[in-house]
Amino acid sequence: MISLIWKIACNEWRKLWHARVPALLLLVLVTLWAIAALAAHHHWQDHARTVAEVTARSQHDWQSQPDRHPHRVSHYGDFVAKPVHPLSVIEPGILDQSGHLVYLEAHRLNSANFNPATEATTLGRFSLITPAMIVQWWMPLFLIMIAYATVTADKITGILAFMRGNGTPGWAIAGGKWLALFLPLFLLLCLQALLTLAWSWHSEQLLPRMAIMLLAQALYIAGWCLLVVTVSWFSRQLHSALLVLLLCWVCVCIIFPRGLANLAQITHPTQPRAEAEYHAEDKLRTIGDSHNPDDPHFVAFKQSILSKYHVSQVDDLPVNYQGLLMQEGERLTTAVYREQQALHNAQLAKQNESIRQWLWLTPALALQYIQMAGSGNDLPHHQDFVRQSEQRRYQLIQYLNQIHTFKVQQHDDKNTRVSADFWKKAPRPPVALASLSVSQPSIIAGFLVLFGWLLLPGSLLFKVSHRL
Amino acid sequence: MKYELTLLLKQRSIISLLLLSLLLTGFSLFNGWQNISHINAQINHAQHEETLRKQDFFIHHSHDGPSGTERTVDAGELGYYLFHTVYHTPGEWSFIALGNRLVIPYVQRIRLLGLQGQLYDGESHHPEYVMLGSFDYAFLLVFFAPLLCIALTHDLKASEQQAQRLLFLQSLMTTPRHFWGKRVLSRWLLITLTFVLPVLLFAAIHTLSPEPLLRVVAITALYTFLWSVLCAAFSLRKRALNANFNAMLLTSIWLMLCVVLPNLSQLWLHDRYPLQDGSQIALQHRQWVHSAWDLPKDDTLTPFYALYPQWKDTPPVTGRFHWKWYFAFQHMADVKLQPQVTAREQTLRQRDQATSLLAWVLPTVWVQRNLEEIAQSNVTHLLAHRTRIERFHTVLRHAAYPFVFEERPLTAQDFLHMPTFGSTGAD
Repeated sequence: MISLIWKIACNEWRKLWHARVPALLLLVLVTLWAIAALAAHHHWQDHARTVAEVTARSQHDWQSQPDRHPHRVSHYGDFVAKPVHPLSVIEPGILDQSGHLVYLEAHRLNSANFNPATEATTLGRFSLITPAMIVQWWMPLFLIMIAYATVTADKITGILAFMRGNGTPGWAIAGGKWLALFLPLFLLLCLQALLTLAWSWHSEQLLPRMAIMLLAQALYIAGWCLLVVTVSWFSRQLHSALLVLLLCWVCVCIIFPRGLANLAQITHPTQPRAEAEYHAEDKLRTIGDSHNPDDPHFVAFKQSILSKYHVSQVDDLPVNYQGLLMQEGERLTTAVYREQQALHNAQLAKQNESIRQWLWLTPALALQYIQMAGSGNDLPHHQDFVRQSEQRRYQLIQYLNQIHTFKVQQHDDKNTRVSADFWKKAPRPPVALASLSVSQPSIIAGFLVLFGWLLLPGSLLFKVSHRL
Repeated sequence: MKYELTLLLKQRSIISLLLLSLLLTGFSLFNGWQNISHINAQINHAQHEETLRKQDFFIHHSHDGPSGTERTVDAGELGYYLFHTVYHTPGEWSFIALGNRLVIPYVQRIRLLGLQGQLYDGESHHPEYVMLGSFDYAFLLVFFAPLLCIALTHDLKASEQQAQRLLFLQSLMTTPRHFWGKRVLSRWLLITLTFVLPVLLFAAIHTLSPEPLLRVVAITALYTFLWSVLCAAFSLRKRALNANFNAMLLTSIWLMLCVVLPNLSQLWLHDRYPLQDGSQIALQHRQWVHSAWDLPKDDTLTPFYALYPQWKDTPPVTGRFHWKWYFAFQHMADVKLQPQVTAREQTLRQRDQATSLLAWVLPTVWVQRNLEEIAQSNVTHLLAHRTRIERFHTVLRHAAYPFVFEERPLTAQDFLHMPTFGSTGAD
């Protein structure tokens, strides 16, 4: 039986080859792919260079600080750039939209700044051509143009009826036609994966990331091949087969992804950042104001410190009380800012949820979610970057406040400068790319949709191919 | 013409395509409008809140005056702690093309510190949503309208051939040009109407100004006309009897004009006009601001007084810290960064210029760009917005300097007279 399917597939390839146009279209597709790879590589290189430059410069600036008061250093702050995975060459995802630099300073939670999308000209509004886009948009389009006639033509010329009359089972014809379309494209996908693997061999978590990308791409293309064969089998005229398939393509690849994202945005709009900052400040004022001598929170804090060191007034403390105040203040502000950040993340999660409810409409978006997760350029990875840099900020600022507490004499606080060696030893762990597991929900949702995407046209094809 | 239209409107597939187009146009306008009204509502809210917050600030930060009669607020504290809200207000027609409005913060907070450290704060948008792109009228027109033209006009001759009427028709025609012209025009008219009617209705409901409306309608009609003519040229060739071949060819042209060529142009543009990454400005700004703490105060104040000689003879700074010196070095960092900032701005303008030249070759870019001009959501409008913020910051500094340098506290009256973004005519 397998040999029968294989024979039908071989026959199909011969037909496509003799028709010339399909081979030409495939050539155009591969050329487009090469252009996309080139453009994406250029884009990635630009980005990776920026990240490397910023990291190096930030490191240099930090290390070359002179002797300073620790609180000055905590306002001098630190810059963290977002790490980029080499797989961004395939899918840059939100790289251009999310901002790649966070400024870490005392008592503030800064946003990730500098995204090229803000300063893009009109050309920036046209979607970027990347290898992921080729698989997601253009491969199905070319597939439609190559193969819309695959069964319909046989129907018109009577070959299909002839084959069925000779006892060839319908599923074998369907299987053979499907294989003839899927196999060359699958080989192209494998080739892309192999080239990418070779190119980015030493990057972290490469194999699982590449594996889910390849699997998702294969499922998606397999689904499109099934759809093309199915529609072609259902149609009586070549023209209607082409038009129906093109309409499907326009909806699945262009209208639905944008439409869904925009619906999510207007049903759950986000608050401006400035508003969140005001809220955080208001909230901080209700918790405690360290400048106010009568503030209940800080009066209690002072009492607890005095009793801890068994002294009666601040001047008798063996440590610097200002430093302790700074530590307490930082603890409070950080808690509030993290709460604000969580609120903001919840807002975004709500949007994502409403998109995911309708994700079954468009396997293209499902594939994009998986590809973005695979290349480390989706929202969860970005949020993890923001979380990691916030942790680094808190750790660094509290380290500086510790130095303030223990190394700066209380009576001469403002005029003291602490040796620069302390800055060099400060804890500044590098921010690493999040592990793939952060995007687990979107990966699972994506794969579910892609499997459904195989089942629906598959079952239709099974039904129609049994018709005599 | 009348018969052509009836002929078209009798086909169920064409009716459903046109209805789909109407629906999508309606949704795109609604979506743009919702986005813009959300932005407007947030701006109104922020304006309202700002007044309250400023009153609140005065109550919290004011001290009893020397005579004990009037409460005053310290000028330094005002500069350091008081945030002023700046807005990127959408235009009346901004809903037509959202452009970069989705990524630019529409409400931002500015205080009297160095501007370059505050100007580039990000907005809390959903990055995946921005990446997928906005579903606005411009998108629908640029991407979807050509597909509609292709669907309706790719088989002018071929469909007649298919129905075996072509020879018969050709034998009847006295002026073929006239006959096919009417066919193409009737299709163009229907397609244009599905785009223009919702816009007209929308403009009537919201009573929008007519001049941009005319421009939008003209752009729409021109663009659909271009595509209809292009499709007709292909489908009326002498041997254009294979409808499928026509469809594929036209789809390929669409692909080139809407995706491949704009992308390649962008690649060329970025290569031709390299832009210094904004992060370098941020790093440099921090360095200028914070190194001033470790320098002698005169290193900051001498160049500052050269710029502002009117404050030169105010009491000298002798202590460890003085707000005068603090605000002076904040401003000097901006001044030192100015060449870099101007160079970046220059590059962005050059990029925009080059895009406008490319738009004469690429009709898709031309339409997008012109709609963004009407919607005021292009990069030039971002630069204008930044200039407005800069101007407001300058006005603010000039209003605060007398109090800082003459070491006068602000009374409630003075505080009320401090400029706001709205009052400086900046919004």
